[in-house]
Amino acid sequence: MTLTTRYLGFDLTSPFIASASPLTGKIDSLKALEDAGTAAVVLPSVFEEQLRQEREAIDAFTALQADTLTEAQSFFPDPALYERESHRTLDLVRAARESLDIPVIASLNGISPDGWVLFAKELVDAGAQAIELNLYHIGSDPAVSGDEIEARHEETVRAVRQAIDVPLAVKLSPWFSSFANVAHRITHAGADALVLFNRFYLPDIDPETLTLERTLQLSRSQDLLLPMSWIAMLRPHHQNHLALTGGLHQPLDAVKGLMAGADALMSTAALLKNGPGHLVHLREGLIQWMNAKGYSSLDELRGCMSRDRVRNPDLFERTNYMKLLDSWPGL
Amino acid sequence: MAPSSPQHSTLCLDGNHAAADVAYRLNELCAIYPITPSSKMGELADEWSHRGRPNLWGAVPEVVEMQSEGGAAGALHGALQTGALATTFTSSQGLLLMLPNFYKIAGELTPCAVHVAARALATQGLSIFGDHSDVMAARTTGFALLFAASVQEAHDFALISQAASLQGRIPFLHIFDGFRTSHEIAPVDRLTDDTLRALIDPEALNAHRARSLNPNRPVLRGTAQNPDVFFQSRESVNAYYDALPEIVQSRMDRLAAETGRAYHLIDYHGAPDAERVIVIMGSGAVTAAETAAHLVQLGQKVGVLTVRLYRPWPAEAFLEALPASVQSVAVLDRTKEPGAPAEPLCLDVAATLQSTRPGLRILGGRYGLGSKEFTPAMVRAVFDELARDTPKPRFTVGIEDDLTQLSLSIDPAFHLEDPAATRALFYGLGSDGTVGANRNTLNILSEHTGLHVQGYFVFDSNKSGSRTVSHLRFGPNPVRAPYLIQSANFIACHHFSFVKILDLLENAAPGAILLLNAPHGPDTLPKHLPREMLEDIRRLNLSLHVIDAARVAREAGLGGRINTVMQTCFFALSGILPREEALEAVRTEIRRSYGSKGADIVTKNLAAVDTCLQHLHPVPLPEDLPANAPRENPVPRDAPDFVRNVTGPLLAGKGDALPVSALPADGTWPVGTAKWSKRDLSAIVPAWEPDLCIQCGHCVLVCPHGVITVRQAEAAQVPDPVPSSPLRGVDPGENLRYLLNISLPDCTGCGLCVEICPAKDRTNPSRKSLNLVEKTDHSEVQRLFDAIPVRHDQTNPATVRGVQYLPGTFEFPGACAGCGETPYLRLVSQLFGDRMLIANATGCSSIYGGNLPTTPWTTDNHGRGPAWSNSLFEDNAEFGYGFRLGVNALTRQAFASLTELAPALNLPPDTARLLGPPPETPTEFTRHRHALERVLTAARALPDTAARRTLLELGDHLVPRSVWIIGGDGWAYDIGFGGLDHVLSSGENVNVLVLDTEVYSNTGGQASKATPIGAAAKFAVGGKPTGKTDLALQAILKGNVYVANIALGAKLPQALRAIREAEAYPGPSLILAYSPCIAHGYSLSRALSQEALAVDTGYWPLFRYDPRLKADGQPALLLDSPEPKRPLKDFLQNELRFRLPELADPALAETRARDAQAAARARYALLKTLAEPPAP
Repeated sequence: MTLTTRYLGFDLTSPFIASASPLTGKIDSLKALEDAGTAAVVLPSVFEEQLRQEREAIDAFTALQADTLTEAQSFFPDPALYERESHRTLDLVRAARESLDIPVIASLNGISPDGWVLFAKELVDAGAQAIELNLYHIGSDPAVSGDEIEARHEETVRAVRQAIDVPLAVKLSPWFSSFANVAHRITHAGADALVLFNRFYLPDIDPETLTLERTLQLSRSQDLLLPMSWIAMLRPHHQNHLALTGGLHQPLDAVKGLMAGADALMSTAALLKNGPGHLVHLREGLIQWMNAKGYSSLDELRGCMSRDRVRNPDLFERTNYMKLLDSWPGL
Repeated sequence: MAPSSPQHSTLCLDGNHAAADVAYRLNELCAIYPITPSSKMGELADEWSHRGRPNLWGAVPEVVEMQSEGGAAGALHGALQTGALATTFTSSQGLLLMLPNFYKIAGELTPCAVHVAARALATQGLSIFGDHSDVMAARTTGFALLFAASVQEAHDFALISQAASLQGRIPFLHIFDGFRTSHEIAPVDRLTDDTLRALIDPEALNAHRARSLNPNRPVLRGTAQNPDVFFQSRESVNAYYDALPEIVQSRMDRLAAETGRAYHLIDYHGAPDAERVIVIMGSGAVTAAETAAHLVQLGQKVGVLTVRLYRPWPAEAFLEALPASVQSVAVLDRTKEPGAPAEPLCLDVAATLQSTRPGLRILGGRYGLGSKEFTPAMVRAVFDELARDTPKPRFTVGIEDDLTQLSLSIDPAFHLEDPAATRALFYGLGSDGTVGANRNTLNILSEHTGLHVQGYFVFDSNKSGSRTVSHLRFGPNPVRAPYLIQSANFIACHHFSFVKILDLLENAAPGAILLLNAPHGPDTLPKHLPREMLEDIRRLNLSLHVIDAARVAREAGLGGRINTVMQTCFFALSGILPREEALEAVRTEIRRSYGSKGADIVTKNLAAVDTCLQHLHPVPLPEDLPANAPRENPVPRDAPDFVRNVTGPLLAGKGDALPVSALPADGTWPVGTAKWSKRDLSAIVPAWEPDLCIQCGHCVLVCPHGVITVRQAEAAQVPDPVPSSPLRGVDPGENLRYLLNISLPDCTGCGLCVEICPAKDRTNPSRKSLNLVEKTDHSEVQRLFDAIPVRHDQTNPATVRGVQYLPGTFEFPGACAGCGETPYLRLVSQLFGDRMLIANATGCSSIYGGNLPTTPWTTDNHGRGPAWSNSLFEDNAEFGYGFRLGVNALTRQAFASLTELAPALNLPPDTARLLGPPPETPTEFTRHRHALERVLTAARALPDTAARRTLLELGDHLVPRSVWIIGGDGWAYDIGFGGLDHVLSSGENVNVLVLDTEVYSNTGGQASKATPIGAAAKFAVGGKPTGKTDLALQAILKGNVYVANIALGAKLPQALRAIREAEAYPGPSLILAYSPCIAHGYSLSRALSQEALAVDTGYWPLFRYDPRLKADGQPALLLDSPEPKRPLKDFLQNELRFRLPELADPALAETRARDAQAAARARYALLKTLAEPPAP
């Protein structure tokens, strides 16, 4: 049984990739993930916004009351004594490359045109073998149209593509009027692979205190349906690689993702919950299932349930909605 | 002589940096302790060590912070005994704490150089500023004393002192003037390592090593000596002192050979045939020499002897340097020795001349105490005095002494500003970046033009809204003017409000450029200027320009940071450089300064440079000047006399003009003066929404600036437009109202009241009962509010809701916006203010509490309030303990006299309480006071006896006094720990309040033993490696001390209860009060939620330990916070102090965070055990 697959120009030993999470932020756990069989790793995202905030916070708080008082010219040691977050991430990239034999993918979440390009180049210079751009935008500004946002995303991908010479993946959200069109444009702009989907972390309301609370809800198996469906829909028209992320918890989730057409399967929540050893469970479960069903390679499995190969492709679209409503008791 | 080394470079440094740069390279250990103005030397050494910068011999010096200067001196002494090269840096009281060791170090002929930014000693008041009082106290120790007079000399003499010390075995104090030299920025020709090597004699170094304590060749050093040999032994060192002047001169000569800078033990400047000579040391010598040179050009036969080596006194060199033609000498001392026939230098000179030049007239004068300016006019006044037939043999210069008539008159119009130089004054606010921009300007001009530069910065005494004045000189000639600018040809005012209160043109030269940042255009600006300013502009023919820098900065995306805009305007107007060249230099500096802060910040600043000149306009004055109002008086006319006559000038920046008679001789000043200084600090202030308010009083308790006052009043007495709401908790039929007033001119806009306010609009939770809004005129409401009669229906000191109505006797402190310390003081003042004695350790609380010109400590309606005093930093517990002992003694006499007189007084039942148990509640105190009044009235009618006199004198002690010992963690955990431990062990009834910011806040955030593990602080750059000392547990173990850990912002009722219990406890009590501080590195507007997190994560558990409970068989410890449910990192990650080390070394930071978590858990577990009922 071979599980080899190709993703972002790498020949991977299996489709399983440990996605960006605290586990991929330390060399010890990265090594554990590699030992457990991850075929590649995506390092924790460099958040440009966070970097800027951190930088601004350091500048603001170390400058607080500086050159203001007679007895104290400052209240912190010289901030130049401390390396900044981006340096720490670059150190991680370097250390990961030194320690691991598997491909190291660096993830980047930018907010400004300059930031995307700047940080992408820094990550590549530090040794990242591929870059994953995490396009994350909440369209809350009524003055900004969807077209503008999509064009901005496209431009970002194009600019980064021109700036780096390693494979480029782009992680997207599904919340576009025409996702297929966006996927096409992003690919055309230079993405070698699409990663479906990123998750929006939204706050919750505390009705007692009338405040918003941060929440962090990890994915569950049922969350698989959204990326799985979109990969199945994109697969027939999409020549570049597709990676599935979100909802991959059990071997059967992996089977479904591959059947939909995924080239790679990314796991975060399940690994955080169960530890790196969960990768063994996924891989062995996948092999068992394929053996049981007589599949000998991923190529046989991949895309067998994509939109162009299923008998009732309209189920991926509105018809499914209609049928569900029809079957609802009382309606 | 040309420099021999090709590596010379010129850097713009301040004196501290210049000295530390050499000291660090020449030593293997720096034992340090922070004290103004020398702290920076230790901070720099610590940073260099952290970076791994090697010394001259390739090793990285170790830098250790000690618990006090006494500790630093002990460590220094010990390190020297091992043959290491060691140093320390200090000033003032710190130097005094080192004196015992100095005698030892010198007595044992141990070479080292200690670097001193000389500062005044605390006497009638504390002064952080410069004079020679401290180093003069060290002149008997046996140390050599070498005085540098400039920043360059502070650099050079750091080398000469160490080199000479190694060679001559006599330890040195290398001295330069605090602030004037330590903080002046000037170009320094940096000594190369080769030069350092050239002066340090390797054989002398080897000899020092060879004398070390070594078990391979053991010796006994530090014997106890009997009368038979002690005297002779003391005399055995004479030869070393005799030889030292020549050794110092040889090192000076070698430096001259290396660098071309020639120094002598005594340098003479002036006419070769001078008849009148001034003798002086330190930076004042530069002013004196420059003035003498000017007078010589005018034909006067004058000169100046600059004393560089003061101990051992180089009599021979002095006599050689003194021209034979001299007829009279004025010796100027920057110190005061009350009761002495003259000051020390004067006596030394007199002793030297007595036998060698017996006919000379010798005058002795004092100048420059506490950084009083010393100017050419003062020097000329001294020369003039020397020329008089009957001069004052003892005089002062620089002040008006209208009491003892010692002062010399000076001509204020006389100055020696270099006409070829630009002399620029910049008036700014601490937060606006003006000083930082001016530091940049110095760098730009020094690097791009080769001009000679000088920068000096003056700050006022407030920690929030402080005013800064930058004094910058640039010119083709070397700047030899160690005094503030006296004739400015460029003046910039960065905040328009200053024009209404300050005389900005006091030092304007005719034809000077005046640049105002104002929200007015060139057409309307003149209507908004005070009348005096318009007249001065016309009279002096000033060139007036205006820019709305706030608008330009805002539009460029820079928020309130106007520094780039104003700096660009300065370069454009001053013409120091061709305009385009200047602008390009500014752009280059922006890229350099802000490059690490992100491209967008650079872009925004560059945009500001490109656009601001379009908004810079010349302002022609109309032919007929508008009849504007004059400049505002800093205090109103109805203020008390003292406030108008003394405080007012201080607030207006005219304190230098006050005569001696205006000032209290014993340092005793009135309280209640902060209210007269309306500083209008914030444009954003809270506004109260009465309809939402639940009258909880939380805002009153957490306000760091005491600006929120609440009252109860009858509805009929509340006029419009004073806002109010129905008073809760009373019968509505009583028609009582609740009033909340915010003193807007004193509000810093910190937002803590808004953060804690629990009352939200249900339909729009973003609207609370308190919301930050733009400030509008509130004066009429304030006036009406102040006049409303007060009722006390709901007053209850036991509850947060009830305590809000108690009048605070602590208001409007000039603390940092959002200060975590001040709410505790306000609360304590509300509870016990009318009977408090406060011993306040030096530190932040003594600065916002007692730094002139005003104090927030005030009185209630009866004129009663806290009596406050600051002794020192290190002795505060003992000082307060002394209060208690003194009060006890006088109270006992009062009791005795009352007891003796009781039969004669025929005390009615309601007055007998005075001889009974002490009162506890406010009502009981009121009754007690009434009883005392009746007793004293009755006593006055009795025949005169000793008992009657005692009762009348001391009777008010029958109302028990509340003794409070207040200070920060630097005092309690470090320098004052020994005394605190002793006082807590005494069993006496004192209340110790430790305002724990976990760093030395006042001196700039240096680590103390209260600093937690992993937190970055100065002297703990990589994060403190060890945990916080558990002071509470140490006190608990004594068994008889009431101890409480409180965090006001986290749990108000617990803090209130603990403070009341501590005060009521009849023995020693210790309250550790968690105090958020700007040195923690987060926005203090979130301080309350962060305090809550501190409690929730176990970082700061709340508890009370009351020994009285043990008597009932109960556990004495009461845990007031539940078992932590959140991880400690939730707290740590919000503060920069914990995040900075994580950036530098994530693995180490993680280890320390784990250790901190484990320690927090262990501590809580221990507290829980202590809180369990004792086993039956």
